[in-house]
Amino acid sequence: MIVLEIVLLVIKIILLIAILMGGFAYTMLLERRLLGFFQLRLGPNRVGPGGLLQPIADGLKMVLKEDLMPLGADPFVYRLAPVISLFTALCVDAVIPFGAPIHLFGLTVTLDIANPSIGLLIAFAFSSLGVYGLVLGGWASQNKYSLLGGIRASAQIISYELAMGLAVMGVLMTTHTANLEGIVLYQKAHGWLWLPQIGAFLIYFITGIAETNRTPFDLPEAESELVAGYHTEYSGMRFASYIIAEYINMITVSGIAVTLFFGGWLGPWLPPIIWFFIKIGIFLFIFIWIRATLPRFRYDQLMNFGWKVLVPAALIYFLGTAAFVSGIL
Amino acid sequence: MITQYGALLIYVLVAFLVAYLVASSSQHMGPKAPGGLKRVTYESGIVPEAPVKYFSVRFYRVAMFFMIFDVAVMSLYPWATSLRSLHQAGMLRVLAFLAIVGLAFFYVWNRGGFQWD
Repeated sequence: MIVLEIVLLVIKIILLIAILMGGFAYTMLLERRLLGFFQLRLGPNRVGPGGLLQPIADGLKMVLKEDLMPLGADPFVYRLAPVISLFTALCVDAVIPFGAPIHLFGLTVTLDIANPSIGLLIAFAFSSLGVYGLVLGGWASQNKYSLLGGIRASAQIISYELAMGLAVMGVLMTTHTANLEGIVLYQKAHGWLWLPQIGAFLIYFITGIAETNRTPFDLPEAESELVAGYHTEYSGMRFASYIIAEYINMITVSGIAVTLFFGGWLGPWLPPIIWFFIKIGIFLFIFIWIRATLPRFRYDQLMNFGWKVLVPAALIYFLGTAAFVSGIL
Repeated sequence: MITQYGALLIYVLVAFLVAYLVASSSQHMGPKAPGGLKRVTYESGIVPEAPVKYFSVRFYRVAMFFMIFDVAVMSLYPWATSLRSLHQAGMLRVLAFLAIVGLAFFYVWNRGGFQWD
């Protein structure tokens, strides 16, 4: 029995990492094609049918680039920072259930690596650690652009994390659990939570865009001011690690949004796991759509918006939900 | 029987290994052609002079506010998952707690702590 469990765990780990890496590759291709269409051009369509092999060509190109370290850089921290970024991005998805539990060889197999009772807290803990990758990478490069980009990234991410933490608490209060599978099962019984928690969902999604440093919150890598922000001095696969981490974070934010507000794997007719991927795909499309549509914030607008609008709004919605759940109203 | 946290630990170790292998792969597989000004940091064409060490103190301020308020928010998580069984009593006690945190929040707001200019 224990052997079977270990084999299943190994299979799940390999599958999850493969899904995330493949998801990254094709999210990036999807983004480049869609941005092309939004701008009335075709996007990359030369490598393979319709450009489908483009990610492989990109990956090969990245691996075969020279790995440079700037003079005066701290070698250990410089090499460690992209690893932290990618590692935390991969870890968050361990607690997200990708589908309904399936029965295999007399075992009930949950489609996540771990399903602890504090699943949501673990996901947030790992995503918070991701800040270290950005700020250490910016600091260790000994470049003014990198340092500013890294510091900006950390200030932005911690500012928006507060509102995010407050927003998801409404879901915790309603569902009575922090276990992500429990949250989905609650939605199976009582209906999806996006409508009763619409304010929380909007705040979560806005902060999610800010946490992943996507347009219109891509101040850390604002190319007109900071060249490329915290990864200015990185080359080859270390640079690619940051990009992989950014796209995997997009998938993660979409996955948590789907799990908390849109019923996770629930849906009619199709198998649960397909529904989960369809919903994530819709969120990724919205991410790309927003990037193609909106201009970038100014830095003071970004910080003021985070502290003076999102935090009070999240607090008010949180208090309203708390009053409703506790039965005061 | 593998516990939930045991499985998580194994995954975390594997993820770290994968991240390390991915990030260091071009160090082993890429070409090596040292020389020239390759390793000088990029500053839009100017040769950098002083080492980079300092940044605005306002970022420290943001970090401190985050520490203060995020600890307050995180301490509410266990309360939030059991609010349904705590009823009005639990709500009133947290309102007292939030009143103190809110007082601090609006004090900082009034002193211009959140104003970024």
